[in-house]
Amino acid sequence: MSLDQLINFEFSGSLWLLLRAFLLLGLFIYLIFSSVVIRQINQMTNTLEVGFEGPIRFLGWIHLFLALGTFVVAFVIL
Amino acid sequence: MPDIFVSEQGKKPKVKKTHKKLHRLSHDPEELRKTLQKEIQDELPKSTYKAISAFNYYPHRVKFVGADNKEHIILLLRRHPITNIGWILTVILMLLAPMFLSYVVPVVELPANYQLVALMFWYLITLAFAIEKFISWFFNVNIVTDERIFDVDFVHLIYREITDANLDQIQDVTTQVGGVIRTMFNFGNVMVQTAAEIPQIEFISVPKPDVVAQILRELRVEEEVEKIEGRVR
Repeated sequence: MSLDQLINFEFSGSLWLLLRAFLLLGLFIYLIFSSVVIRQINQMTNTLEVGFEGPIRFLGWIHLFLALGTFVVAFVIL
Repeated sequence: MPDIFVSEQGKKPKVKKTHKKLHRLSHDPEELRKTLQKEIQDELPKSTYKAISAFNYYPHRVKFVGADNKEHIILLLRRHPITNIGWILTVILMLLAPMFLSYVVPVVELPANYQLVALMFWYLITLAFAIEKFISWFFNVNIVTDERIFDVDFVHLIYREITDANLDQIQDVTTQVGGVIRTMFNFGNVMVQTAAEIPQIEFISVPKPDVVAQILRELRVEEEVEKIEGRVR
């Protein structure tokens, strides 16, 4: 049974709009969290240098770009 | 009456200057290794450095906040890699969860575009979880130098705590190895009681705790000897 059939047809349009808004807001907040992770990695690597900073920073940036990509995809297709 | 003693006035006394180079046991990894028990010598790795290693002996590419330029880092310790098994299994389950979700949750079908975004968001969270756990393991370290011991803790996002104590302030070192897993893989806690402001520094779940304790003992003995001989760096 699809979600659409569970809800009164009159309100289904508003519900999807609300769901879209919540998802986009959640992804936007997650984007901010991703940049905080970058900041955290920078602080950690400045505190302790052990010769493996490059790959860890790269991971952090990949995570940020994936979060940005997800936000853009959600904005376009939802 | 003849003089008993005539001082050589105007003449400066000759002071013999010795330029002995201060040789410290803790500056030479092989010399320090030889002072340890035979069984423990075999457990010590060679003085090579692996970035992702829980036990490094004389790592040569390490710098940290609060270090003295003349300080020699003797040990760089992290929690034993086996302590990461929990979150690694959690990450694997999170990666596989979407495949089994439809069998567990009552079938409520979202449109395809919402499913795609939800899936991407789920895997993003999984990636963030894995990154956080890894960097938490990687950067929470314990460092033993020839002068001090350090405990570097990143408690949570953007909060770090660095505790250090001089070797001559160490009063007691206790090792704790309990349980089947810890005994099998030879890791445990090293509790260091100090006379510093922080009374106890803990090395949690470090590999080879007996080796760590013995190295600390040798360094403390060296500090005591230096104190007696009046050698100050």
